[in-house]
Amino acid sequence: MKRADEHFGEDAILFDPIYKPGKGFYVALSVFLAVAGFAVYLYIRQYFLGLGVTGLNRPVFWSFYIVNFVFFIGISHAGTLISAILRLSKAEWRRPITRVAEIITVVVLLIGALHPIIDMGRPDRALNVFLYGRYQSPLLWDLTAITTYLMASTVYLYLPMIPDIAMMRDKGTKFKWLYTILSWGYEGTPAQKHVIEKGMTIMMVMVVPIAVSVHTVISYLFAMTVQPMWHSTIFAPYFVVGAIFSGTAVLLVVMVVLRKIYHLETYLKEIHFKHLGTILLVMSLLWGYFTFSEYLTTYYPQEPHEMKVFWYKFIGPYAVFFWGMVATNLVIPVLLLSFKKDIKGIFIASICVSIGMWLERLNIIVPSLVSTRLPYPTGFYVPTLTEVGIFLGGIALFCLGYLLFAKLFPLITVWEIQEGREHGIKEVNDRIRSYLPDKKIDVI
Amino acid sequence: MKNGNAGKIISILQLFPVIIVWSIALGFTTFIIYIINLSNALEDKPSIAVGISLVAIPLLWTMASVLTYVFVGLKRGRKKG
Amino acid sequence: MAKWGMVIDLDKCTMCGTCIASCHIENNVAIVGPEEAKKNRAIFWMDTITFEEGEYPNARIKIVPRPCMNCQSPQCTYVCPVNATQKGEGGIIGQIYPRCIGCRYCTVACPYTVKYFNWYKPEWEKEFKKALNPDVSLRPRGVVEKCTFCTHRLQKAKEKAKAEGRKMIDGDYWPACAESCPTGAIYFGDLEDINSKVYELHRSPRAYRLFEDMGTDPTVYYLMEGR
Repeated sequence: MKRADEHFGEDAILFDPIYKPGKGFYVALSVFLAVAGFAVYLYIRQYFLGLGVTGLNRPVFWSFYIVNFVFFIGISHAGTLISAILRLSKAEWRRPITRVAEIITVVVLLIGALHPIIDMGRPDRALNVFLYGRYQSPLLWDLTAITTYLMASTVYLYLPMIPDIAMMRDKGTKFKWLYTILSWGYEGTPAQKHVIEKGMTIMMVMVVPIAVSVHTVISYLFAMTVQPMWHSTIFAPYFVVGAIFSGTAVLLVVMVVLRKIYHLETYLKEIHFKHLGTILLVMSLLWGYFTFSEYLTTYYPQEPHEMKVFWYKFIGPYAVFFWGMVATNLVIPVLLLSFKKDIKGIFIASICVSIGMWLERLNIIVPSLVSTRLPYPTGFYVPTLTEVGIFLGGIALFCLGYLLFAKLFPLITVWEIQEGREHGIKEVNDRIRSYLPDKKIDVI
Repeated sequence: MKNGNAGKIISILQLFPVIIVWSIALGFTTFIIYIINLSNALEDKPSIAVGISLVAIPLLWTMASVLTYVFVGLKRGRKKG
Repeated sequence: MAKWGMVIDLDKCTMCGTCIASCHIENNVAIVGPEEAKKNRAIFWMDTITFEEGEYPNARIKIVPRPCMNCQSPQCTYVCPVNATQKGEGGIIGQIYPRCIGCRYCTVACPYTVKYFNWYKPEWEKEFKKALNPDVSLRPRGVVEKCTFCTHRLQKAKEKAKAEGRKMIDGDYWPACAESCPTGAIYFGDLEDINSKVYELHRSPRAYRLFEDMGTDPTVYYLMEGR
């Protein structure tokens, strides 16, 4: 009897994680489950004892949990936005990247959406938001935007999965019942292909403004208060740019890791990293531009309350985090991506950016809270094991989600790769021909 | 017959994603309408709830419709026989 | 409709702290203990702010009592997702403890940082338990609280006036801090009642409010120290 994966032809390796999970899979699963389980224990402890187990105090009422909330939701822009924009612009190099990115979005959105509940003093009263909600509060705008985005990303992830699930239903050996249910009777007829394509096109177009709105309303959480260095009109575009920036970085990190552990070198080639690396470089400079603009407008008029926050970040207790952020978000990535643009350089730059963008959220939230307008005694905020543990638990949950997805579905859109082989080259040829003035030119 | 039953169960389970997205879309619509009513009853200003609902509700319904369209389209487009 | 306001005469204030202590006792404010207090988690509905002005040898310290500013354009109320912080009767910004979900958005939005949070379940020693005020509800863990101008006293005053068949007059309702101040530095009353003491005082040239230009429209006025 033929081995199951030999049915899949030249793309068989993409199905290996499903049919041949190595020992590494179980080791990784156990590690992530342990970390996530510990985080769940820490949270249950916090639920019963109260938020006193964190390092929060007055005036730093918001810190780690809200930083992580913004951080995780920011990463969610990776997937869907990049995948949608690349598909809309018909960039051929998107083919192995789209699903990797889309999975990131869905998993990280779920984890991010948990964080406001983790941060609540009385999560058992969470239903009060629905019973007594006030839409004047930016928290409800968040609720709406994140729900809409979650639904959009899930549908946008699912629709392109259908042909691949049908492939596994027909040719594979495991989980046949699951694939039969999820493939919705897909058989590859032209009518069905057309339906899926049309559905995908509508979702592609809708997802982009929804994604922009999500991080905009998250920035409004801060911008709608009068606090110094929060009440800034630049917050909405600043956060969206930051989200795309951190999302691209995490996408690159995930791509490098997946390429290594699943041996996807023939699919995730250097050219893919180079292109995304260029996007990362552009986003880094764009982020730098926004940051410069924000700090210059704060510094110039020397308004006392805002300057208090400004100096706290520049030379005060948060100087190490602030300048660390500038180094990891701007200096190191720009240098690396300009001069050492191979996969290793891009990997280091992406890790730096991931750390730097987390630091940026910390730098936005805590210094404004510590620098109260009235002269109260304030200390230096230090997170406790609970907060750090839950943060690591969030990361572990992300890895777990990804691992489980990889166990059940191919990480790379197989049908899109096959489409690229069969139709992509001719389509691109025709397209280039249509740009050129002389119709008789033969482009090979 | 066993195959027939299995086919029926599978058909019902296949409906689940469609049911879930419509539940979210309709649930959110109900929630926003309830909030607008509550805002009116408390003599608060419902303008922003109305404004957001004018954007969010069509979006959610469109997404649910897209999924339903794909579901129905796939069932219809099957090979005959 | 009344508009309850407070005027604090800084010339009369001796910074004795009686207002803080009486507020604690009247409103069943939790005693968090020395360890939690060191972490900046002590709860002071009525607090003092220490302003340091000038440099040696002309340094001055000004200590000012600070209740909730009771803004008529309240930032905390704007951002509450569940309407637990709301402008109630007479313009008093109240807190509905059973509804609060503890998201702490209001604590973060307040420009004066007058809101406090119950990080743990409030506990009292045996002796303090006997002294709890039955008119004020105890807060559970995980909810936000702040000075409410002793709004429970407003209810009592209204009922008393109704029982006596008369309207409320200036002096019927005043919070614990105003009542206990030994020098009478804290005045309280209806800012819209032209016969009240606070009406006369809040129109004095010495009257000012904290961060007036921010537009929060607080109803707590301070009378500048005479020069």
